[in-house]
Amino acid sequence: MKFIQNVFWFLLIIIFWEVSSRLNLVNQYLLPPFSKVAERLVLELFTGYLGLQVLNSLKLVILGVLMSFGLASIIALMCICSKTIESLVSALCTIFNPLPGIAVLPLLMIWFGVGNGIMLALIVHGVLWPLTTNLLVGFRSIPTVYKEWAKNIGLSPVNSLLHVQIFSVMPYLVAGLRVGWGRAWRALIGAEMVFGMIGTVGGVGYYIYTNRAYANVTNVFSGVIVIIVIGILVEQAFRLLEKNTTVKWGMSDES
Amino acid sequence: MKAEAMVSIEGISKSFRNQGKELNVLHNISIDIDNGEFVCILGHSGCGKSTLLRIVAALEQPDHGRILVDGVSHRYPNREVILLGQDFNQLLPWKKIVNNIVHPLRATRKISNRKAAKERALELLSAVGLSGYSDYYPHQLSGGMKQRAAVARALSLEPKVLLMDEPFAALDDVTRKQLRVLVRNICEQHNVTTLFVTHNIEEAITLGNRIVVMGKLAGAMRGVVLNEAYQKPDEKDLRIRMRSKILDYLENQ
Repeated sequence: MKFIQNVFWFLLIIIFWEVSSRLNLVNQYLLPPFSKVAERLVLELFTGYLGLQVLNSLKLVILGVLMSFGLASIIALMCICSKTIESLVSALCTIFNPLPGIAVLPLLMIWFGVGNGIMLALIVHGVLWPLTTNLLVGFRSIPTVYKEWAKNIGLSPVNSLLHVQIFSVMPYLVAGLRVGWGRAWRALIGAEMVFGMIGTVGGVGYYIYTNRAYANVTNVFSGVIVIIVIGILVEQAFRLLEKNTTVKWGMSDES
Repeated sequence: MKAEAMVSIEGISKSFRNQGKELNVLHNISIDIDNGEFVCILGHSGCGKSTLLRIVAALEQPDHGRILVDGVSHRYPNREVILLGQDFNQLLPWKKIVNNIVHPLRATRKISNRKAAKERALELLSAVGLSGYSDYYPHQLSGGMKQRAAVARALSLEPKVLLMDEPFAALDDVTRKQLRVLVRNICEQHNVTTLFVTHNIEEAITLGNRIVVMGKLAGAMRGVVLNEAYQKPDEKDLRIRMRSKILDYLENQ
């Protein structure tokens, strides 16, 4: 039902867009009709430059999220083992969680120069802190009954972790990844635009930026639409994951 | 006498520190429980009955005294002594009801074969009246059904001792009465020694061979009553007599 409603509104917006452009209610150069943008989008994705740029951005963000996931898991494990480390990590999270990646980008450029590494650092910064924060809260909120049951049947701490505690943390893990992915994706697009000026690394952000420089508004729109579509798809993937895990288990509500 | 006891609670004392104040929860408690016996521990809220149960399960260490299970000192929790609590959400929510039973069976290597473990799980689920619900997730069941499943899960491990901490306290009256009968019969069938904590006199008289009455203060045991009304639900006079006897113990400090 919600899906149908969404599709209805999407279509209405697109029709409004198309008509207002075709009837010259707005300047066609500033707002090219949707049909023209769609045509260009397909062309650019499959035969032109855009497809490559999208793949580049996606590759970076996926790699970055995976790295952050590994890193956050290791950090969370260390926090379980030591209260001192937990206290340190939670202080670090407090400092870095509110810090937008783009704000430290100049500093990273001075320190490390420009390249793929700096992009990864930016993405990891976006994902790591919210994910770690969520994992720590998740481990702290495991109901005592689960842990005591594991203890009662004589499971070792490692088995208790693997068979009981990790599942209990699932809702927090998914929530952390969701927030982290959103931040990382935004930071990446922003950074690609910054680097567009020095013109080394590509990506969707770079694509949009250069096309602005060539005053190619239709291409700019193509890039923007790609970003919207990717955002929606990833959001759907998270929903699907939740539906088949935490929602199915009655541990969280459908979002 | 001692050699025959399945559970020996020997001089258990326990106190907690709370905001600088020493709180004496259990004071020198000693009880012997025979194999297959169903003993109820009755007392006011906060008298330390839950703590006693947790100590028997070795989930908590006493300050003094020791617990013997089948003649052996019981200091580390294991599947021989299973504690079942009042919380409806003690089943693991990410496992189907049947797997909530299969998992501990395999994890403890009680039954390693998946198929055999599943058979055993289904058998016990049908014994607690949950035949058709094996593929449900816990959150899809009612509170009473979840407690039935928890009983099945505990018994599947064939513990020597089953500890129940007010497992039906949060249920409605009808369900609670049904579950009392079920638990009493199933514990007898499996010949499992049971310690059952409750604050409800009726429940204690219905269930226990013997009833341990705890005092209001300092977690002291007031006495052990042999339940003459045990399994005589129709003898109202006897039940009333037992009731007043227990009340005497409960009220007199």
